[in-house]
Amino acid sequence: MSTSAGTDLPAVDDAVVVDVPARARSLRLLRMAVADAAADLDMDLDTVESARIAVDELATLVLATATWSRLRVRINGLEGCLRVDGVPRGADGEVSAVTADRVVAELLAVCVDEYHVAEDSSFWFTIDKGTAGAVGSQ
Amino acid sequence: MDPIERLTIIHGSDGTVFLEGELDAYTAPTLESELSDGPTEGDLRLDLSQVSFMDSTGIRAVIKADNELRARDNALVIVSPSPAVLRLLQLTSLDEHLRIEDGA
Repeated sequence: MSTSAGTDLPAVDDAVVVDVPARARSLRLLRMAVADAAADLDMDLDTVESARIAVDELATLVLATATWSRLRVRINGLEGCLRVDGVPRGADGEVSAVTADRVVAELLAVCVDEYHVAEDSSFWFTIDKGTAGAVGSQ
Repeated sequence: MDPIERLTIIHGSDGTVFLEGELDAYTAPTLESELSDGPTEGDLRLDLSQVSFMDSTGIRAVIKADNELRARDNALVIVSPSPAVLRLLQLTSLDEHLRIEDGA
């Protein structure tokens, strides 16, 4: 885990960057880091839980697109808003399209205010303090 | 860390399967395998009171077990879901489709 901004992500002061092996076993570490940041913003328990679900679901989607080497997630809290960006690196072989089934889409729609998954499998989402979900877009 | 260390599965004497830990993409395959190898007759009671986190992969494992049991005219009963699990089931409206019981 690092507290410096990643080289392939825009630099943001005070952001926490978690750089982990791109494997399912890393999901818990991502959830812990995001939950900690959400709690630091004094978000309520439901919102913290929503943030945990969101990073877990988006990272799981991305991990399914290829055999990646690393996943770098930047977590930034600013003025009551949590912004989380994820960038996978080092794909071994072809990268398939991100596909979210109905359950995942429903969860993301209610857990975050906005989210996006790009064609290159990078993603971001935002949760504003006190609004544990609004409209999702992909 | 082995998935089993993050998800403990205990078979109770009354046939209830107790889960403890987290259900995510790392551990859900362990649960799916465990449930697939289980008894082929009777209802399955799945106690989720000690599951601290569940995501869509955990939901899929539960839905798969529910579908398989329904196909055999049996039922999956979710027993005492933890607040995190119950919230997830409510967010996805699965609480309206799954049989959920308070174990108390």
